[in-house]
Amino acid sequence: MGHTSVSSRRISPRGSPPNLRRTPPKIRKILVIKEKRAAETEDPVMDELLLASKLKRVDSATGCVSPRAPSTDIAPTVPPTSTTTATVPRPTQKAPKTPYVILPACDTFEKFRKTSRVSVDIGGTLIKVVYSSVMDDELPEEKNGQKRKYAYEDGKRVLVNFKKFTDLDRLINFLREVWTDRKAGDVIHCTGGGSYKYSEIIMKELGVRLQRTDEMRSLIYGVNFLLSTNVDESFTYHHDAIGLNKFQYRPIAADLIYPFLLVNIGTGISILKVDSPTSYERVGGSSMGGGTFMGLGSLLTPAQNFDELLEMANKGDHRNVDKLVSDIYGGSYDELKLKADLIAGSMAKCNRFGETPKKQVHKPEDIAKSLLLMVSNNIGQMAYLYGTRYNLKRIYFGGYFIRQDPITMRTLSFAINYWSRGEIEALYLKHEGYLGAMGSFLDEEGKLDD
Amino acid sequence: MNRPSLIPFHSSALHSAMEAAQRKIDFRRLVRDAPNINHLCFDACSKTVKIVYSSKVPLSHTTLKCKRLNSGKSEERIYCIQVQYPDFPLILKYLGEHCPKIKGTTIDFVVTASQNAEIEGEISKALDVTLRHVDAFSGLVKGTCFLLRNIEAESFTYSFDESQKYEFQTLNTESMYPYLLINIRTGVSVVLVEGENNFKRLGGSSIGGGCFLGLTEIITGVTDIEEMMERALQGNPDEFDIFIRDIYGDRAANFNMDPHLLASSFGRVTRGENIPRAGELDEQSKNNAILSLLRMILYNVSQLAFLLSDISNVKRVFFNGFLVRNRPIVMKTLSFACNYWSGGKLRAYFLRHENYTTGLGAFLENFPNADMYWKEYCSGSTALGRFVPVEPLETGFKTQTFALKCARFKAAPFCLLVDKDGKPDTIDFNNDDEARNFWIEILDKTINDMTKFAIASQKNCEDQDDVANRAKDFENDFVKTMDTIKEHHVAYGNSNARNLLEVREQILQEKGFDDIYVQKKHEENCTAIAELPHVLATIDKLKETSDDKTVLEYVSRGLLAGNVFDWGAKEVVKMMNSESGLSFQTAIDHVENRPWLFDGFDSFYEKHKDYKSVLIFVDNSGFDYILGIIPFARELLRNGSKVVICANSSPALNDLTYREMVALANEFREIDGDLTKFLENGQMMFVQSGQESPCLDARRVHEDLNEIVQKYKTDLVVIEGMGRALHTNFNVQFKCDSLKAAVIKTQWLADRLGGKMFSVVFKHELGVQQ
Repeated sequence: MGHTSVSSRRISPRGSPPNLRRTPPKIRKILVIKEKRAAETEDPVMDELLLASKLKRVDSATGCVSPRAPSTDIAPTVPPTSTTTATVPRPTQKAPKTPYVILPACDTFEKFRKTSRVSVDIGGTLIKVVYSSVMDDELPEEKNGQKRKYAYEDGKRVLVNFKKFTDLDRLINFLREVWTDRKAGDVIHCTGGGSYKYSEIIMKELGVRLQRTDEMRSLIYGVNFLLSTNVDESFTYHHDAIGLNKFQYRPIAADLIYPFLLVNIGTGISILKVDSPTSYERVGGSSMGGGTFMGLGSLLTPAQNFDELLEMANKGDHRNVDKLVSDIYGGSYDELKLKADLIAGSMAKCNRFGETPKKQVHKPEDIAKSLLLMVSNNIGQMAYLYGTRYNLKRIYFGGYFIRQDPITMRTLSFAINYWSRGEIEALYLKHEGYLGAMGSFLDEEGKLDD
Repeated sequence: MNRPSLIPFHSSALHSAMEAAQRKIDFRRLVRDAPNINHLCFDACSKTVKIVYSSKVPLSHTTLKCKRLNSGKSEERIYCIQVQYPDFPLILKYLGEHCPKIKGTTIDFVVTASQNAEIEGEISKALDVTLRHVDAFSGLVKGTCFLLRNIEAESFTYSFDESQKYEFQTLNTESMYPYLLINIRTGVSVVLVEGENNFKRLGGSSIGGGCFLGLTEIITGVTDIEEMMERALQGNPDEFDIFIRDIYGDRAANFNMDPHLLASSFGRVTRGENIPRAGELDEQSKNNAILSLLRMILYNVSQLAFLLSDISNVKRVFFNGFLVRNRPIVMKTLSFACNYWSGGKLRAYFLRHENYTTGLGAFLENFPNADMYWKEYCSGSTALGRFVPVEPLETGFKTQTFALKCARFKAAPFCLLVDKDGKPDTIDFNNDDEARNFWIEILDKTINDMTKFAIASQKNCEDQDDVANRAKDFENDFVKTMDTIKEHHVAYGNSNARNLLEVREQILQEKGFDDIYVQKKHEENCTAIAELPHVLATIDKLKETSDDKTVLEYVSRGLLAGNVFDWGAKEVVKMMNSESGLSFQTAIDHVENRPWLFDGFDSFYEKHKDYKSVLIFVDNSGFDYILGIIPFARELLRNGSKVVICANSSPALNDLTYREMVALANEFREIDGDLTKFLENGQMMFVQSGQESPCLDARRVHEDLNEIVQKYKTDLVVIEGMGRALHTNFNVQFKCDSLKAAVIKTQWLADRLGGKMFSVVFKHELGVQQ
């Protein structure tokens, strides 16, 4: 087992909430370094930044990025200082080392100067947290043609911070430390399936009330907000390009955002047709999502967690376990325009039809690669088909499964491109994992839990 | 392709030969009519080889003098047989030795895999033939279209609840297109079919049969697909899958989501304390994993199918391929998923003979008679799919066969049908066990009489042992077929009265009894012809003294009286076999007085003079036709109507055949001046229906019939007799007016229709305007 500080108590009969063992950060680091070498550039490459979840600041014209995060999943970075003024009832901070965006200075967000807001999205595997903080770093106001202001008159900015947890206990400990100004009667914004299951524990442990936002609604709010305020939120992935060029931002004018298709890949998949922030519909879904990749991967490889499995997939060669068109037809199947290297049957080489006498051994890396391609190809195809069905040209992918993993993005992009004959591009979101938490954060009309 | 190697070809052939000798393989039953094979095609798949061939079978002919002669005619048949690789060398050897006609010719070979070279070599060597390659996909589409166009009840839907119900459809060239074909083999291919030669591949997926087999094997170690299916049935998806209820708990209903909905396949694997690993699963967990895999893959395939059908605006989706193959768990899951994704709009369809589609289609590619009407030949076929292995066990092979016979004309739905796909059967035996069992019992009871009749019809043949043996064969085969249907009522598709009677005729023919009532029919025709002048004179006399209505009622009663004579009705047969026999007058006396059970006489009388063109489907020969139909038709002819009389194309029971009908026309000329006039000026005509059953399935009729109906603008269809007007067509609607007339001659049907023995149905219905 990987690093685990097993929680002291069982919260539900089904074991700890979203799993303990997942995501040791070390693996992530290895992956980053590997990617960096592959890219062979001097500048911090884009995928490294993305993989490290170090996000470029909102509509940054200078291209300045936040400093690299420390390499471990360390405890809260908020120093318990008290160099505050009377008007701000909580500690302000320097630019944080975890991912953040700066909220525009406007009436809507001004309240966050005085009161912190915390929002959590408890999913099937991960808990995502979005919380506000105030920063007093005096960064120069950037001018990039945007009229938007970020600093308030006192020079302070309101940040929204993003953080992931795999374990409810750690989340609660974290919030206890970072949410210092909370008082009885405050609310924590909440969404995700687990917001029902764990509501009592959260309320009890933090001494706050809980306000719930419907999952779909929070997802859409989140996407809407990020797409319309964060110019560099969406991007396309181009696997064959080098370094930064692998990622191309696809900014979109706020009035052109709708309609679009949102494919949220979590444990399962939800496909949403979004016509406006308040008008959307779950038009489809699939049971073959991140949970399937992880589940089958766990059965078939020694991988301990999602990142290990992804790393294995990166090393594998699916052609050892998949049947390609060429394995069946000896080459391409020209009558049907099927290329020789197209996968005809995922994992199909693993069946012997009961006739080969010797036991075959398949490398776990190859299996992981095949599974990843199988799941992502399928999602890409479904997304394309739903896009076609509703005549939507823009398809955004979100959810924890993507994790800005190169193979996943490459496969999804390939599938969309292949099926649409180049007409549709797969679009990714930098904050893909936080859409729900972000939306719940913004929601003023959530339902209070009793 | 993981085909077993053919390299030790000869040694394996030797081995199989020894084994075959022990098993007493009956090659003549497996490779039927081999000496006359004139067209051949091979489809070598990964586990089995499908052999499709045509053969011209010489037909015999029973004479009025009770002899059996070679008719000089032959019937073309197509046979599809499916054999496993270990048996294939033997079959090939047999073909090489027994079918001289294909030596030196070019035969067809389906190209499915690059590794076919070896088997191609073996075939061309063994048979001394050249192979011509046919594309597998074009074969698949052609074969599917061919089956749908020709075979009754070829397609079916399967229930997605626990009822395991098959619902059969019979489609035609107008109603079947466009459709999607979801071919689940190693991968999945989705083909949009808009015509036999007009199709395109819309897409596919790598998540199909190969993926299921591969993942199942490396997770559970199970290698055999049949074992996988068995285990899936024992599985429980809760171990590995996450359901909506697992995420939302009991609040799922708040989101309008079914709590039992699958949210994530295998999502639960990593949720427990210990991650299970493939090698450590216990037997139950293996079963659970197989079920979860099967559901994952089938749900995904059906979602793909639904989306593509929706985008291309197609209403019907057929699933086939080795993963489907009539496996209840697969069909149920696909049906459920299609229904779910489409919100109830899309049903999953399957084909009864889907495993032969590619081979059959490839065979047809270069076959001259592909456009003709081909009927399923049940007595040469094993029953549906895999669950009724009748023939295979006997022949010593794990084989299946499917035979078709050529009707030598083109068929189409009767053009006056309102619903061209609608079932003709009044009582659907698929949903009525009581009716089915009753009928099977009746047929079983009459088998002795049938056999006696069969032997009598050829009593002057020199080789009486042969006659007796063939009669015995008929009896055995028929009883066995009935037993099969008793146990699996969908074994040959529908098993309605119509189908059961047709199977009986087919088996009789197969055993060389082409027309067991031929002498009886002749005898009756002679008697009836002799009585005809008297009957006509009575009518003419009545006409002088009575009004039109009385006359019309009289000829209508005559029509019904004629229909009392029926060798298919047990009660009547008793009367006819009695010492005094059954006279026409006795029959008329048996027709009850009005009002009848279904009495449309008044409305028929009101309109009868308006009908310009009448089509009459006749029933039995003898009294029925000559003393019932002819006088009735004569009255309509005298009113100025054109009358076209339609009879079966081939013998069935004592029903009138087209050939007999045409021959009898000459007899009328010497009897009645009016009839002579009508025959000469073409006001009275004859046509064949294309049917060979005591019932009438108007979904497939002779093209000539439609031509005549359209040419003469038929405005009244008369259907006569129990088989055609009661057992079938009783509820069928026509575009023009119709008259359905029959006398109920079985207690069972009387009970079903709320009447009694000899109750009269005289149903006059107005045409349905569209």
